[in-house]
Amino acid sequence: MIVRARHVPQMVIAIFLCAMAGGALLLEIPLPWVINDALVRLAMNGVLVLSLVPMLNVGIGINFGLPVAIVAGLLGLCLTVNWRLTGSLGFTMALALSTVIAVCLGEVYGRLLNRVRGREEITATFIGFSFIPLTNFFWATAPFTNPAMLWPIGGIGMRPTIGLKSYFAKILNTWMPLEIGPLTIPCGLLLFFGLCCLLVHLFFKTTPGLAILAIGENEGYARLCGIDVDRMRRLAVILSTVIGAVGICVYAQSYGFIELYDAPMMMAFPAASAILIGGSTTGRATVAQVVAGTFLFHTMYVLSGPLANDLLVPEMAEIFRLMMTTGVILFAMLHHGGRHARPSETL
Amino acid sequence: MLELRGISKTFGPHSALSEVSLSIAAGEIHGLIGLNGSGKSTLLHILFGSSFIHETGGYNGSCFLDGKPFRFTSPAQAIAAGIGMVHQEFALIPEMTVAENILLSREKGFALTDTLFPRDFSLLDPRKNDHEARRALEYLDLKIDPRQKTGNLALNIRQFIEIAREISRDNLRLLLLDEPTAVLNTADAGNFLATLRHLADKGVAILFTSHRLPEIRGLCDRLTILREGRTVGCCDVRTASLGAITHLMLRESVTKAGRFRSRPTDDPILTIRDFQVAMAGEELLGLDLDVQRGEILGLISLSGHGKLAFGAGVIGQLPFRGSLQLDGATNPPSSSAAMIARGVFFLSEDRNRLGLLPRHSIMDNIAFSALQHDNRFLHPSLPRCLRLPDRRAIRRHGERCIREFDIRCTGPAQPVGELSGGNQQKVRIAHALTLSPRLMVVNEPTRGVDIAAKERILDMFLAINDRAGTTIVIASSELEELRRVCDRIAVLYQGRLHAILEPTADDLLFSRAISGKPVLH
Repeated sequence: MIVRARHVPQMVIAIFLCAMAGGALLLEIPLPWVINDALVRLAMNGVLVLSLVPMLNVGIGINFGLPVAIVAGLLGLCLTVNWRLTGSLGFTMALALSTVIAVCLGEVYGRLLNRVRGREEITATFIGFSFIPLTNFFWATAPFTNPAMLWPIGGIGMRPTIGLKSYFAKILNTWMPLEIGPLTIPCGLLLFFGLCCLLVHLFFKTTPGLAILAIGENEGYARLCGIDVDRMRRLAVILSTVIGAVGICVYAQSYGFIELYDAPMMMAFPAASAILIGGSTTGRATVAQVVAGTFLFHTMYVLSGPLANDLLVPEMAEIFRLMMTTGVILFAMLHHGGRHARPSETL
Repeated sequence: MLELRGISKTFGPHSALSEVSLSIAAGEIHGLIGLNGSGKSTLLHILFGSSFIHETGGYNGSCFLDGKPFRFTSPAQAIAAGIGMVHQEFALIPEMTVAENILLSREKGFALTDTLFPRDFSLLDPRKNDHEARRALEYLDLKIDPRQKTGNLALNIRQFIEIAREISRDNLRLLLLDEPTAVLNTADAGNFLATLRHLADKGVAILFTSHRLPEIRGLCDRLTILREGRTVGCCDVRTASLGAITHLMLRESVTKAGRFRSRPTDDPILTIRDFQVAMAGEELLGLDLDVQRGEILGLISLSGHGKLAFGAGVIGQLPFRGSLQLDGATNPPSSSAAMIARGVFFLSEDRNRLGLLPRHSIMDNIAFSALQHDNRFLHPSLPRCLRLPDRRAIRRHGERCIREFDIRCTGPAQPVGELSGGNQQKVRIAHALTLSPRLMVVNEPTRGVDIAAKERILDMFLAINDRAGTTIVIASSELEELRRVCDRIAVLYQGRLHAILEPTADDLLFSRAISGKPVLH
């Protein structure tokens, strides 16, 4: 029953956001553009943030090994591009392939994490980091044949960025747009994100979902109640990996490019910040927190660029973003302290 | 010596204490009694300056020590003023030896380095420290080696070490004891109470909380009764009757659960032979036991003689050696899931760690295992493979259990972490019963539970045994309770079956059996 400063990060970010919005108004940065961009970024990054939920809820902690999921998604995307599948067929195929690859990778990843009880977060970080050079080797030697993906000179090895323009770039962003005056609301993209949120929300209402929540809350008790803890933890890791793979597909189509090599390395951190800003603690995260956190975090992103350009040197925007991202993670770790925190005193 | 005036404390919207006053003279043993959640622990923590009191907004009222007002904000200040506290949860460091724990922060250094360097840099003298610790242990009549690691010791010994740490302080003037005898068996408790008396004779004032009324009556000079955070009485022990005290505590009288019958059957539901479980501090070294279908069997032993390991071994929480026959199946797969599927359920004694899902609601806790294993409470109009539960059915079931078992709460959606110990225990039993097990093993069902809840819990066992024919094995150190509900009582000694006694057998026979002396049938 300790009264803690629970919502400090959310409040700091919200105040910061209000100040920035005020600044944006003063500098006459067009508001419709800001709203539009904020909505796109919410849905584009939201699925990646959503992918952290199962692992948080099973008690493993933040999935700093998100690069594993992202690589699964990138593989799916690359295969689709290699087979020159375009349009909605291409995107659906990319999602399906990513899911299959993510299930396989997630199974292995889950088994690894089951062996390092209590140190999952740091292990996951390094699984993510060490997975990147491995995949770099693969990208450099992979036998893909579509010249659009390969180095123009030599014709061997993948390019670092592959344009999706002639395949399925912006397919969700431009699906069912709703124009209200100067605003363009990307209904299709938001709908897809909403559907993912709904599925995750419903999953935690099913019995396996409830078992995962129970493990996150009291692992010993769940085991005593006959729950197969290792299996459920693997299930949560696989789910996280699959959602992460879908997340990078959504991200890539919205961005318009596939980014290979070192690009996935640091992608876990903004996602982690977003979910922490949403107010999740280690051991419990809800879909509402994902949406709120992603919105706050990325609206801040959207605003900070033009503001810094106008007021300070352009580089400041990036520095501010990085300070925010890492600062929030540090704050959350200090305050919630994960599972090692002092248990709340009962009287 | 100590005087409290109008102490009030709130946790958020809940009031834990309101206008509590009491005074203690030097050399007095003052009892503080009340049900779970009546504010006893909170009061002690206020006196000891525990940090969470300060963090939750402090308290109102004033405290005086020898006429001087004080308001501690950290235990260090309280310790400096000569106040010591023995906690309900152990505050010992398992990786340190007994001597190190006892003398923590008061270690003795070599005289030479003491003079040469500041105290914090002095070289410690292990012999002097050992000697000091040994003296404290001898004072408690405890024969253990102070060089042992604390983590390896049994629960009751650890309790003694905690007490030794407090009483070995030279400046000790006021000792706060929070349920010190809750984990001790009767013999140890008696020994311990004698020590307290001795300490009080030397002029130390003692404030003592306990659930055990007879104990308080035997030991204390005066006592204060708390109910829902208020002082409802303060009296001299010698003049007050047990009934009057109970009445003040509860405001209602307690009807005791009990049964006097015995069903001799010969149809064992569970047969174990040479059953060995390596539970630290509670080893079973070869138990042979038949549990008859439909009986309530009590397991009793001193702590450390293996009664708690039985359930852990049967359910597969710990691996066992030997043979186990359940309903005719020999050595079935030993895992919680497999055992639950065969209708066996185990309630561990470790209520805090292995008891419940504290952040989940009462109804979700009750329905949890039935939903996971029996596919009960699944939504009737949705395909079963979606495995979505029927919230309405879960709520209805929760409400029924709350009514039936008299769980004191604000409603089925209240998180169980907010309930008192006794009510949590009722939720656990309701959870087990929802699975309709054929065999239930329960460890220490009434430990740390107030007397009103205790009777309800014992009643629950009798009712389910009567109605559903559930076989129940209760491992407990409370002989009185076992005698009231059990058909047979098995006495364990040094990890083996020593005797099986009728609950009506006389006290002398029981005490002989429990201490390992031969028993003639």
